[in-house]
Parts: sequence; structure tokens; C-alpha cells
Amino acid sequence: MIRRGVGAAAAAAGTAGALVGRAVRGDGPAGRSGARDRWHAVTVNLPPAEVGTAPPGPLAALGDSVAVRIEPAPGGKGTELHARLTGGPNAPAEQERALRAALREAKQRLETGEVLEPTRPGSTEPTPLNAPLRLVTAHGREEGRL
Amino acid sequence: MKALCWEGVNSLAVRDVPEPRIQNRQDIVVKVRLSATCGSDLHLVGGYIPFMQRGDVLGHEFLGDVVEVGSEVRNHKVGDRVVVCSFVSCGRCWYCRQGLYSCCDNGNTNPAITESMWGFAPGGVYGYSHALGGFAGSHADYVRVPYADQGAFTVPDGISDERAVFASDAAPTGWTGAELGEVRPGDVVAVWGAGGVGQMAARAAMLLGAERVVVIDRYDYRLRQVEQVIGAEALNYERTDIGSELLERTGGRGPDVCIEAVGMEAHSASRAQYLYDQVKQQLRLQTERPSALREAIHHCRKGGTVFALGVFAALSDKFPMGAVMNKGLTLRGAQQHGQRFIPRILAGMASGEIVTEHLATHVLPLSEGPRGYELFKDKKDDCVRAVFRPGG
Repeated sequence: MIRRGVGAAAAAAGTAGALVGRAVRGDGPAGRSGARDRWHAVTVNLPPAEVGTAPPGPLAALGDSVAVRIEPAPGGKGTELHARLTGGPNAPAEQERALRAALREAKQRLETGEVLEPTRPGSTEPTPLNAPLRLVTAHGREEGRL
Repeated sequence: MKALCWEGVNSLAVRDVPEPRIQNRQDIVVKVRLSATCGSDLHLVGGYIPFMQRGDVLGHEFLGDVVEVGSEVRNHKVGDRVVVCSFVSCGRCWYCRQGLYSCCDNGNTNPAITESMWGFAPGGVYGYSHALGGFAGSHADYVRVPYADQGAFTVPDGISDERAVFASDAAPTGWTGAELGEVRPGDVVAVWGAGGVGQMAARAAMLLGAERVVVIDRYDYRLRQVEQVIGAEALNYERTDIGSELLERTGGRGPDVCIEAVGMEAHSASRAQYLYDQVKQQLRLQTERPSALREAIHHCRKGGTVFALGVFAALSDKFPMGAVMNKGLTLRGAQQHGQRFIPRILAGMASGEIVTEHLATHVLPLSEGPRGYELFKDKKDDCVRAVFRPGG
């Protein structure tokens, strides 16, 4: 085992993880990106005819809590899939997280046929230092700029 | 099974971890024959990329034998010897279809982290932190390979394991720098860094028609490889004024293409510059020590191209934007788009025009993983790359 100069670097790494964790989690009533009823969008690399006009399964599963708009992307870049919460700007944060995850899942299913799974079971050992990072990765597809 | 795990900053250990299994229909499981250390691992080991967790398996440059195949895998069968691109890329999103495989939309299972840091998420990488998907690495007896029809390539008979393993990352990364840097016949190309990636960038530039290729480093044993194996010119920046040499070798113009293959922990001929960057990096006031990138920008000819091939994490200080703008430079960067280049590289390896086994200066059993990283990190015993043989 090699073990050298752990102190300051480890502390800095932990701090960085915590800061990113806070940034990614988007604390606050309306998240970092504005009101929760803004449109979120992904572009699917398929022509509109292959995507269809009905909300893809993961978005359809969210029912009336989301509105969906599907339109061609310019320049032959595929099909834009837009979705927004119908519950207004103060809709629960959980709904926005579910919407992001559903958009990412819909895109992956359409493009690749399945949703890529993270390594399970992992070999990670929980420690106090990596708790912020574990919190982030537990919600890896529910957060971010999308 | 046994695996080499990150235990904390500058702390590695071989320990027992769960064996991988098929999780997606497009997965294969590979029994690892060889798995190489990479300079970019050192940023993880040293805690400069703070997204590792204790117990994470390192390693992203590998080859091995297919032992299990998912139901939707079409190109591989049990028993195939494959080399695997270090990037996990779906092959079907818009970016993959453009050949920008490392920018894949679907290969990273934790897109939130890098979206927040960089604006958008690149694809995933084996053993390269939870920011890039948290995939278990290849310094292990077995490794799961998602999107196997896209990222795994059958190695032709006649190419040794020691040569083919570098088709996983070092060679396609070098090729990415030379091709996306738009090296053209007649160009003079300067490469900063004589490690595996720098040597491969130099070789790719030569194969793309460069007239002269000059590689810059401070380690003579690596520069000897550059001259004797790669066939490029070598400059030691600790004994040579690089600026003067490059001017002389280019008739006063400067290199047409400058490829930076060092990354965020660069050293410098300027002691003051090195200390400045080191202090700021240790205080986390910047994440990089970008001295090689600064030099590449400074020495590149007017209207030339600078390609950032070394790994950078986030923020660089004292970035010479004035030189970029006023000299009309093209500045590009990329992680490797290996799926685009590996077939060409394997053909070159088969014909003998791409030689890599000299990079594997230390082939060790996986049980000696921590020692291998020590040799590699501290450049002991003329180490260029430590390569691990699980079960060996």
C-alpha cells in the first residue's frame, strides 16, 4: 500500500466533493435553474417519424404531472423531446428530479434500446468523507443542468 | 476476485471485490489479460479529481478474453481476445454518430456532476471516478464492458498482448490529438510529453504525413524511446532552450501543430512558474498546473493549432488568451474518440507501423499494483508504464 501526504489533499477533496454535491443537488425552492415549471429538453438522435407523437414510456408514466412537446431538431439533429411540470413554479423538487430522469431514460431507450446501469454491486466503502459524493451519485440522472 | 482499489489520497491496495456480471443486454464480461497504468490515473490517486470513493477499482486501459456475453451483443463471443476503448460510448447518439465518441450522451450514469462542472456531460470511463460514470476499472481479474459492440475490438492474431493493450487508450488518444489537430503532410509538429500518449501522438503525426515531429520532455530515458522506437526528434527542456530550438527547427515560423500531452500536473523549466502553479494548486485556487499548455500556445506559429490532449479537470490560471487571440490560433481539446481510431490502429499494429510494447517497461502481477503505481508515479527504474497481469 502506498500512503503519503494525505492530510491537506484529503481535506480539500472532501470539501470539493461537498461543494459539488451542494451545487448538483440544487437546493432551494426553485432549484438553480429557475422556476420548476420551465421546459426541460433532450434531443433524440432519431427522425421524428421514429420517435412518434405520443410521449415515450418514461414520460407517459409521469401522467398529468408533466406536459410533453415533441418537434424536429434543426439541421438533421434528430427529434427534440421537451417536458415541463404542470404543477407550477413551486412544484415539489422530487417531481423535477423524476422529470429529468424520465427524459434521460426516454432518450436512452429510444437511441440504444435500454438504460445503462451503473456498476452493481460496487466495491465502494461508505465513509464520512465520501458521504456527499454518495448522495450525488444516488441521484446521478435526476440532477444536473438538464 | 482481486482488484486494485483506491483507498484514499495516495493510498492504494489490492483487495477482494464482487465479480462483475452482465447488467445490460449489450454488456460483455472480460477476463483481463493486461491492464496498464496511465498518467491520468495519477490525478485520481493524488486526489486532484475528487470524485473517487474508497474501494473504487482503478484502471481503464486493458485487453482480455470475453467470458460472458449479453443477449444483444452481436460482434463478440466467448473466447474472443478483445481490446476495449477506455471510454464507454453508446455509438448511436448524435455525438457518437459524428465520431465524437468521448462526448457520448449515454455513456455516463452520473451526468449531473460533469454537467454542473463543464456544462455538459461526456461519456463514461472505466475506473475513472464517479464523475465519469463510476464504472469499475480494469485492474482486476474481470471487468464488465457496456456497449460491447461499440467499444470492444477483436485483436487480430499476430499482435502481442503487450502491443495490443495500448490500442485501448494511449494510441487512440495520441491519434485523436494528431487527427483532430489536423496534422497535414509537410507540417512541423511539436509534442509536449514523452509518455505513452505523447509518443503515440508523435507516431500518429508521422503517419499522417508530418515532415518533422519534435517531442519535448525532461526524462532522457523516455526521449531515447522517442528517437529510437518512434523515430521522432527529442528535446530535453532541462538542458535546452525550447523556444530557440523550435524556432531554429522551423525556420523561424514555429510549429504548425502543437500537441500538449502532459495535463494538469505539468512541470516546467521555469522554477518560478512551477512553484506558482504548485502553490495555487495545493491551495485549490486552481485545479491545474498548465505550464506545458502555456508553452504550446506560446511557441505555436501564427494561425497554427494547439491541441490539449493531457487531462485537465476544471480551472487554469494565467491562461495566455492574448496569444490565442492575437496569433489567430485554433485551440482544441478532447478525450479520446477511440471507437473511431482503434480499427486503424490495430491494422497499424499488425503491419508493424505502430509499435507500443516498449511502453510496458514493468509488467507486474496485479498483487504488485501499489508498487507499480509507485514506480510509475515517481519515474523509478526508468518506468514508462507499469502494466498489470491479473492472476500472474
